[in-house]
Amino acid sequence: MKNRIREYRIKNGDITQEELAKRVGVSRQTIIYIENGKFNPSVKLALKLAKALNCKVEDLFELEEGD
Amino acid sequence: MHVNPWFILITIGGFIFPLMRVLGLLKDLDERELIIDQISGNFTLFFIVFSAMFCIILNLELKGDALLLFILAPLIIKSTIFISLTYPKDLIISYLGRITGSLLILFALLSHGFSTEGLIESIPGIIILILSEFSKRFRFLGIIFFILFLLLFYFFFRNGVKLGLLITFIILSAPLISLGVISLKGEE
Repeated sequence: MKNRIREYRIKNGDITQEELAKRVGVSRQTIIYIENGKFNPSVKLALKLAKALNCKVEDLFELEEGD
Repeated sequence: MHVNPWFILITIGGFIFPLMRVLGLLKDLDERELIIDQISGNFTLFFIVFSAMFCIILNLELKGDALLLFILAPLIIKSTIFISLTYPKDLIISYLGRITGSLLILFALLSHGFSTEGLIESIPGIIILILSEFSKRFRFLGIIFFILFLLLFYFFFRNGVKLGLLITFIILSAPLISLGVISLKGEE
């Protein structure tokens, strides 16, 4: 699954991974894993991320071929 | 009834964090960490089952210290796997390397005091401490952890398998293998 978390972090005043992690209640390492596509968040976490980054979930995450 | 204080210390260490989370003194694990907690628990379960099967097949009678195998080894294995999969590379190497190296030095000094023997037996612990710090920067040094693991295997089992040594071997080898793998891994 593709994601644009890094792009939206920059758009929202260059929020750091640490800051985003605090806002959504996960560890920084989890944000790193999500950004690198190594971990798919739950629906709840995806919604929290979208809210924290002032966008829709569909803007942040996109299914890839084969998903 | 005499209980080895190290046994108590390691048991407490293994359960203190989950207990603090249940009591709300520590932040709960996030969803990724919960999955890793489950994975590490499953690996540990497989280890216990295979160890028990091994003992049954070989008709081994477990008494006293040998029973510690089924308590200490799972705690060490679960903690090592959890740490290895949860934290960033440098932090893993720091935690595992410093704890393993420090424990080895502590055991050596407590067994022999600040004598020549104690200092010689502290050398493996000192090597692990130094190697851990340098392996954060130089990945190839991870190979040395595997070499240390092989040396450990040779020295512990060259005269056959003894249960007491098997326990110590498992406690030391899990962090060594993890340190080797993590050191050689590229940056995320």
